[in-house]
Amino acid sequence: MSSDHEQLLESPDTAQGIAERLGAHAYLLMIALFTAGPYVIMLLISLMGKGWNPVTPPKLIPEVWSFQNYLDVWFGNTALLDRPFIGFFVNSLVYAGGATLMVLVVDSLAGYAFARLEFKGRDLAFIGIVATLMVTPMILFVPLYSWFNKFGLVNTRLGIILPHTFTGFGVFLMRQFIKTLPSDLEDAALIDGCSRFGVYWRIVIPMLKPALVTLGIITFITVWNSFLWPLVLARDTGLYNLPVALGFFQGQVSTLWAPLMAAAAITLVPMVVLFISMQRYYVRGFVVGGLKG
Amino acid sequence: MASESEEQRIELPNEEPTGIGALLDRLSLQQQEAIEGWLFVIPKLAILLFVLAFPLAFGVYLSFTTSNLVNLPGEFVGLQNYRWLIQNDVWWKAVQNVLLVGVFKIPTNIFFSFTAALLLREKLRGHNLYRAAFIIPVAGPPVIWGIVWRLMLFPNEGGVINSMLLWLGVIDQYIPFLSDTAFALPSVIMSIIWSFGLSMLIYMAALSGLPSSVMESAAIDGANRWQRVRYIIWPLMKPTTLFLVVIQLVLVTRLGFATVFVMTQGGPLNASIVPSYLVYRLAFRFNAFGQASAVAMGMFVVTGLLAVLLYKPLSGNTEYYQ
Repeated sequence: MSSDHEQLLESPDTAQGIAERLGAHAYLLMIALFTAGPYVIMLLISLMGKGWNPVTPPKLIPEVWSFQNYLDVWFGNTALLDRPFIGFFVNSLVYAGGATLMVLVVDSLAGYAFARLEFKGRDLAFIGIVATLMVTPMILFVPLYSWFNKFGLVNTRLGIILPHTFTGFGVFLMRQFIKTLPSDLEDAALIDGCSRFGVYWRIVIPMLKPALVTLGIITFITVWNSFLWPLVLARDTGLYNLPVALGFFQGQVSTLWAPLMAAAAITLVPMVVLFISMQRYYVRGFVVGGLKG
Repeated sequence: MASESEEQRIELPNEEPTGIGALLDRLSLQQQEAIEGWLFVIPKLAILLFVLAFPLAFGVYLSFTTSNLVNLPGEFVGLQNYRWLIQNDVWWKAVQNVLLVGVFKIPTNIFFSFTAALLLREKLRGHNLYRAAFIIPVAGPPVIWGIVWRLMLFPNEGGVINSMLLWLGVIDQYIPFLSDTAFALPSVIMSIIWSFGLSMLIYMAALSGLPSSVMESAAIDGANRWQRVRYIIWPLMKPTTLFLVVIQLVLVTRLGFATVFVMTQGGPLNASIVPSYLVYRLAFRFNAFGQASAVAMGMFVVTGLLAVLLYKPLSGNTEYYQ
């Protein structure tokens, strides 16, 4: 057997093997129906040019296929929202990009110190940072809102970005990754009179690229999908991100389902593309950060 | 090893240090390293203090006050909010609900992700499509799960699930899933158990790291396929499983919020209330920041108790990994 791993199912040449494969397909297809089915329906409804209303039997195939809902949402021509959706898209980009940049800089700096430097209080500080993983947003959002209110950070872009940056996960990940790197080059540079920051910037950061990509993707997707913090901290609708802005299409009396589904697709599809194309990196962060720690 | 190179650094100065460098050179090496270490860590600690530690302490204080949006912090009332909390049925309902969510969410997550990861390794036709299909729910915002599932669970015309069940003859009239006290929470749970894609990817990474020698010798020893899964692969996956369970435990307390927010708003009659939504409703609908803080602290205690109770069984023997 030269395959890269032991097969569990019988070879497809045998009747038993064919039956087992059919069974496996049936099982996987059933799950896929529940995981992806709702999103297929979302896409179908978003393409219904005449809108969607609950009727019997459920209407799932558009009578008129059209991208009109997407255009209406994007440029702000729907009955419940006359503001272009592009603005929320930009907000989401700013929040996700800003938080990602901040996390990458701050966490790699701290991770480097925790991995390589010896100093008093280091272990205590590290434990304190990792302990933040235990604090869930629900415990924090009321006091944080009140606290930010005192500093004028409620209803500002910085205020919405900041709560996404406190988690200790990134520091932990960076430290674990740096510890797996050989330190010879860093030592040599220090002997040659390179400053500590110079070592971090010119030697560690280039070697850290894979871990930075992992942390960057994880942070970007998390912040893009974030709902609670923008909902609480953006009092002005102009500061909403995409997930919160979806609420515009769910009015008090009625929901505009076809535009809502188009808006949901606009929110979801970039992340699905990013996640699927980058899944290798995404997973590695968890494996390095969690399993080998 | 590090200190050796540090000493050499002093003996071979390349250039005259200036500014901070000159200041640092007057200190001993340990002092230098300590200052440098703290300088690297300070940005993170500053964020943590400002965004987490102070607000948390402030939150503890708020929970002893009658605060609201315009009166922050309000009057100190001692344990009044906690007395209210302990006697409050909605709070206990919320705790019970979030525990129920965990009880259903965690085992199904492990089951689906482990079985799917095993089967996807078989390189069946279309395995990449299956993988993509399983990933979609975790790639997008939970709000969107909630919205699409609300659509699927429509109580009357247009509800795909109702129509299917009716067509299959399972039910003979439409079920108002989200507005019936008996069905609201199960519906919420039903919608969130499908987001197992990340766990599946982690299992797949772990499975591909399994030593093939173990599997081959098991096959030679005559272990059948069920035995190989049950007695070899599953035990070898134990550290991964524990890791996933811990992640899930941390996530469960956050999970409900967005889903409940768009699907049921905690209703009907608080049937699907979860603690995170209760905090939100108290603070931003009823303007009761003091009581909301008490609920948040109560949940902090519940989470802590869970961590203490589950620490032993979850941290047991993982040494044999690698």
